[in-house]
Amino acid sequence: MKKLDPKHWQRIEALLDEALDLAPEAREAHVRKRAEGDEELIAQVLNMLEASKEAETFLDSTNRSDLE
Amino acid sequence: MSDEGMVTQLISAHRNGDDRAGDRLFALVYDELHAMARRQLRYRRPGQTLNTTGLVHEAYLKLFDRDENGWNDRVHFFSVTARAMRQILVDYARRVKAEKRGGGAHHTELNASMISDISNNVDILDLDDAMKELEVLNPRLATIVECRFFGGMSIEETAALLDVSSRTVDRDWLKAKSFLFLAMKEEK
Repeated sequence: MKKLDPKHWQRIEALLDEALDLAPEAREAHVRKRAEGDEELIAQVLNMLEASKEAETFLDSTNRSDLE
Repeated sequence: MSDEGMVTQLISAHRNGDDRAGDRLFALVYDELHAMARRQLRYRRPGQTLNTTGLVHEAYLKLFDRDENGWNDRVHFFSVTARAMRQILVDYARRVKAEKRGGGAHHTELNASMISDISNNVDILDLDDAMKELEVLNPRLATIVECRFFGGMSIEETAALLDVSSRTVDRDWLKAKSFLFLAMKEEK
């Protein structure tokens, strides 16, 4: 995700939003169709989608070993 | 004037567009949180981490006048507190790093492990860097991370602050975390 500019990020985020509204198995096909052969964009969105699975509990305060 | 009264005035001025009031509010909250964090650290047992959510709540009880302020002031206060908490953790992490590099002076109550322990071994300085990237791309996503992670704010409180739906915050929170997760992975 190096050297992203806000404009390009907007495109990534828009596709990501669309994909996240779909069932997991339909996401990749949707992204490929909507990105119209822009391989860089496709790779970035799929990368984010993959990360979204791992990131679910990332930075989650309920996982903290806080002292109460 | 009591701190509470001062905070009430500053929140109101800041919400009406006074940036200097915002700076003073931040400084006041920062100092108070910092003092609380030092106290908490002094009495912590080995392996215990800083309870950032608890500290933010303690600052709220101490500084926020619940009779004078409404819901909007409350979320405003929390967002400032969250930003101050972030700054405190970043300042601590920098100090720990500098002392480690210097190889001497163990004057700090902190150590590297406790900074990285704050959540799931997240490196605060790496997170701060990644958040700065995110701030450029979409400031709202970065604010959500600040509120949720550093301020311990709920989805609903964050939504009220930003005047968007809980569903939007939920989705943005996931996007923000995904971005940061990737950015921090690439750092390593």
